[in-house]
Amino acid sequence: MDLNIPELVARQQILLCCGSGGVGKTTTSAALALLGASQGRSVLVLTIDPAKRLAQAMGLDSLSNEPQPIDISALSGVANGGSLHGMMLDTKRTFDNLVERYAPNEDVRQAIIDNHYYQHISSSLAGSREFMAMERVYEIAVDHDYDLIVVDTPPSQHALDFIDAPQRMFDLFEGRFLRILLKPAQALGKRSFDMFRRSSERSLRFMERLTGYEFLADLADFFLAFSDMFEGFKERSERVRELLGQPNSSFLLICAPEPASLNEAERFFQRLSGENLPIAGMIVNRVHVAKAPDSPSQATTDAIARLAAQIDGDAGNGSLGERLMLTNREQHELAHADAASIESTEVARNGIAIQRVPLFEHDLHSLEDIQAFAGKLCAQ
Amino acid sequence: MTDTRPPSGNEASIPPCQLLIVTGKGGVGKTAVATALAAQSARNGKKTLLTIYEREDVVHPLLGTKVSYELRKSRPNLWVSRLDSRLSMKEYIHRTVPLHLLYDWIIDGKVLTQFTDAAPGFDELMCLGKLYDLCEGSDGKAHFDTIIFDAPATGHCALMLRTPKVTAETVRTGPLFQNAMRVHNILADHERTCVLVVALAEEMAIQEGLELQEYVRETLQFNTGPMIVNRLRQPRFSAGEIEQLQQADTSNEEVRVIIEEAAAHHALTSLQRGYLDNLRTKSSRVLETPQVIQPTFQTGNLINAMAASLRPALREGK
Repeated sequence: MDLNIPELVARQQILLCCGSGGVGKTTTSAALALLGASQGRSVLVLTIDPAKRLAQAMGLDSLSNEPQPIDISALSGVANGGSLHGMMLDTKRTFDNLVERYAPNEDVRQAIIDNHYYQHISSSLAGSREFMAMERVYEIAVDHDYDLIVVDTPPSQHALDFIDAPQRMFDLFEGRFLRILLKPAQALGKRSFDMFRRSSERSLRFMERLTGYEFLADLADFFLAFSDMFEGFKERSERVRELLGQPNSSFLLICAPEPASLNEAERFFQRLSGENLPIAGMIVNRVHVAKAPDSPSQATTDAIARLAAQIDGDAGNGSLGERLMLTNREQHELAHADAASIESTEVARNGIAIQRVPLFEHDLHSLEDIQAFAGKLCAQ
Repeated sequence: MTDTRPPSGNEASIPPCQLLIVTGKGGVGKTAVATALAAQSARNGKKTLLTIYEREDVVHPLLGTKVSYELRKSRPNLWVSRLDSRLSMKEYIHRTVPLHLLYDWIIDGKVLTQFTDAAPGFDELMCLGKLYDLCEGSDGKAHFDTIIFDAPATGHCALMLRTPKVTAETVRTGPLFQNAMRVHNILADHERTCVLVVALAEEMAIQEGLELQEYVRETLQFNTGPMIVNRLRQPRFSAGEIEQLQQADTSNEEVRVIIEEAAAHHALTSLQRGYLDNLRTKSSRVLETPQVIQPTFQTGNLINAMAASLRPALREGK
């Protein structure tokens, strides 16, 4: 089944592009956003750490945590009213904003911002980036009035970390570990962790043995300060989850035809289906295509041989005719390998719409290049 | 199979370190390069371990061997395993904490799992801890001459490599500090560990690769090896040939397509050579690995062809 990308871009409010890195996910996101803008919609593309070149291609020196307008007026075929904004996720800033929003007072806010452990998790360690990406999407969806938001999700090592990360954090907040850790201080109504040493909890003593006292103390202080904000965080995260599950949101699997990349797409597919999240389709970039029939006719082979004989060949590099036929055969082999890899995926077997995008042989340097890529993305 | 001649540019060599950490932008064929390196190292008579970063047991996509936390032998001289933070932690505790059976309920229970799942950096630290044990042979298992770590992609790998140091700085004292420093020290030992970055001859992949190399070398001060540029195709046509072919007058549609394909091949290889030449002006240490094209995809052929191209770069014998 083919994937109708123009229709998808015209209809949806949120498109989330998932996939491992290096498969053209950021470029695809930019192209989808540009396509939406060309249709006359107001569109935002949120990217995670894009290559500088892509930001430059969109006419920006760099992207920031706030939406920036991208000038598409020079492009042809843009419908009236179409506009494009771009932004890049700043994990720490987003986390700080969230603390700002939910801290009950200035003391708590400062205590969190100064906490060692907070500085550690809010910068860029695994998990927090995924959490904050979704938080930012929600913020934008609520505070702004875009017709379409295209999200280039973080290239996680593990499928759907951006959905799992908040849940893991809540499990921690609600779990026994924290109750045990915080009990001594809470019992005394204290906002510090110095009572911890007298705790008789075996699991705590055990943790201390592994990690040392200082670390647990920092951790407890952090969670104590955080506990007041927890409800706000949790409610927000539930709303993010709702937003992703609604009919106007769609997930797109982005991959390349190599086995490793298709495997990764497969895992995304399984997880998304398991979570009942809406998958619009799979986009396979960099697909090799063969335009001629599998084995050239005798007439063609002869014609190639005659043609090659008329041309001053490169001496010592084998006959030109042979090299031409070899190149043709290789193109078929590459195309067959790609087609077979794609067909063998569970995604294909489940009838998910697939769009194959031919290998694009040059880098993207301008909005026009992105527009040309968008054209390939939509070609049937 | 075609295009598998050992490329001409493989004069750089891979430092004879025990631990080789293979990373690169996603989609550049890290796994193929790591596997080929491991296969060639094993063929050179070195006892070799290929270890990967996976949360569950998997069948190795190129070797076809099951990969679990326990070491498994895949070929002569070649073992495979995966790193797993929770199992590493359990193993570590069993080795260091007396009366550990008393604590298994904690280790397996929800309390600790919730903590470790949410603690940023925990997973990375524990996996590197296991890597440390494998290098030192401190888990009482066999000692390996070469350990190849098929590491996460660029961004995640950079975070991972700095986790021990960041953890040590966050914790400041105590056993976690000491262990984190121990892991950091082995990674920072230029004689023992080398980070290998894989790229494609494409603008963004090379840029990201160079940035990672610089980060590893300058900021982390770890050893980096040559950049491995993968999936290269050898130039086959001259510009003159392509020009004449395109001017040729033909009404045969198939002939047109074949000429177009030759032109595309020429454009691709020219582009690749351009990026390679440019890269060589910035770094003299470059290794080339080929795009392997085969009538039907066979992982064995892929590994053999890539291993052959890497052979000159790997020191033989013990």
